[in-house]
Amino acid sequence: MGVVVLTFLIARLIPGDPAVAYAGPRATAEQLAAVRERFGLDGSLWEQFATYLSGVAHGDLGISLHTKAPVVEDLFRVFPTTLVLVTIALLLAAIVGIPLGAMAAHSRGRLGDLVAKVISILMVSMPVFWLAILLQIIFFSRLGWVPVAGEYDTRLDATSPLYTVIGVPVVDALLTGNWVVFRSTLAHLILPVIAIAAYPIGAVAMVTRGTLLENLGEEHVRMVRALGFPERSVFARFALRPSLNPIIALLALVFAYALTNSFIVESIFNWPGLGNYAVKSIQSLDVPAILGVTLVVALIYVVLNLVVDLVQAVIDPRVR
Amino acid sequence: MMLEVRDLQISYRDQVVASVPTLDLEPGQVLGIAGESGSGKSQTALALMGLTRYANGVVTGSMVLDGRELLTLSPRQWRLVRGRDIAMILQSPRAALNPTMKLGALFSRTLRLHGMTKDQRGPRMVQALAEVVLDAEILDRYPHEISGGQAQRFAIALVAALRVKVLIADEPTSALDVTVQAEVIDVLRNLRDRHGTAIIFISHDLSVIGELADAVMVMRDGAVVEQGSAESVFNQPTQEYTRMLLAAIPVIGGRSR
Repeated sequence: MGVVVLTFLIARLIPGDPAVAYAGPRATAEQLAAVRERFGLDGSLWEQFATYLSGVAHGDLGISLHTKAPVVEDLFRVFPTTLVLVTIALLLAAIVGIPLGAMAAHSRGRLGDLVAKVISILMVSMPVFWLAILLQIIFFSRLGWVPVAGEYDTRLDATSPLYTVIGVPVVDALLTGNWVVFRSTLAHLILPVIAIAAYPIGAVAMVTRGTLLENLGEEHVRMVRALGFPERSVFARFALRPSLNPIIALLALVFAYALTNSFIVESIFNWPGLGNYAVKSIQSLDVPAILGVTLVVALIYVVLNLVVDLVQAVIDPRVR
Repeated sequence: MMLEVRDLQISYRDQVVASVPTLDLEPGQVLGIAGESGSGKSQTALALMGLTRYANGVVTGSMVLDGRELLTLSPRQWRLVRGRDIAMILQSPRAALNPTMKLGALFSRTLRLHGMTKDQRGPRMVQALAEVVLDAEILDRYPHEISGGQAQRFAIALVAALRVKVLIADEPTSALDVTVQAEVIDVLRNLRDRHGTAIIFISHDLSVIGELADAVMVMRDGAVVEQGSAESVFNQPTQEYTRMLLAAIPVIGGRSR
């Protein structure tokens, strides 16, 4: 609710008239009035807010000014695409970041630690727009290894048409066994996933190193060493498991960060997801769409917090 | 002699933190090491466990267990000594147990590590728990669900099940209150009587050492200042420092020894 009020006010109080943005600079006064009436832009701010709020309560987020479709429909179309992108990026962050941090902790103060540190710092300090463009230049322009934009090669539609299941090509292709398109979607995923995963990888590696070192100094680690356990299991089972909770909390945090980064990455890679939709909405002063995007992001925060609590309780009995 | 330590010296970055000229231990014998914090007694314990390497410590001298020199062992060989020949219990018994693991899982994994089959492990665990007066249902608990005294007795049960020759108990009762201390000492005494386990009992508190020890070593500032049978150290201390430690023991009725 607080989110609704805040974003509504900010979106409506920024300079610029959405009706003008919609109808174009040469629209007549009558045309503008018609647009205002159609999108509920006439009346006072409070009337507009009341109208919007009652819509939200009924699951109606209004009509988007730039796609001319109901915002709810738009969101259902674009959000899964982004969710897939960000989820894959975060899985990658966990798969790469945790071992990287473990390696750093294992070789503390030696070469491996330094290498891991340099990699982590690079990952967290590269601006995402710069990294995305750099990736495009190297792997598309120079090397030509991977495609640069979109979700898959649409020319494949002619030879192996893709059936829609949930509306995300990579998942649809997997579910319908369309391997030609599936391979194409994977190739298209590589660069945007790396661009989004970079920061999470670095952050996860740093936090893993820190919490692991902390746990390695605990008496329970000394105890299992004294019982004769090999260093491999001292690390992988006895020290890592109690270190997982801060890492999971961090993953949730960077999920939100990655979602924000997807705004930029999706624009650069022309990825038809939430971020791209949001950027276009902002450019066209599309208030209902901006509000819709904000609501979805806020909702994700809430759901994510719940998921983190549940997962932490499973992993660490002290939380229960 | 089962364990013979000669000219043991432990240093970190060329700074010697503890040196022990001689330390001998027979099966079933209890050696008490007394001293204030920083006296080098815990470092001696870590060296005897081969654990100083994890803090980048360097150990020189000689440590012979049953005719085998320990200081020249590789990390892999050391692992086979720890938990089979020598084990250790620590000061904060609950912190010494992995917080994310049920006690039964830790117990079972430890016995499996040391080559026991599944069929052997169950009865061995139950028997060892009975020796330390713990109910077998504790295996289903997490460390934060049991008391400090229970945790320390559980650790002793682990050691009992492993049938080690030497147990190093580093301040095993210092974090416990007095009645629980007495329980733990009883359990340790029982361990020695039943399995002939030799115990190195480290404490800053000479009265606790007096309960159990056959021989006593007093350390201060990394050096051994007095060494001898419990009787001689308690009755005829030669060093001023030992007399001071003895005077610190409260006696009922208000008279000091």
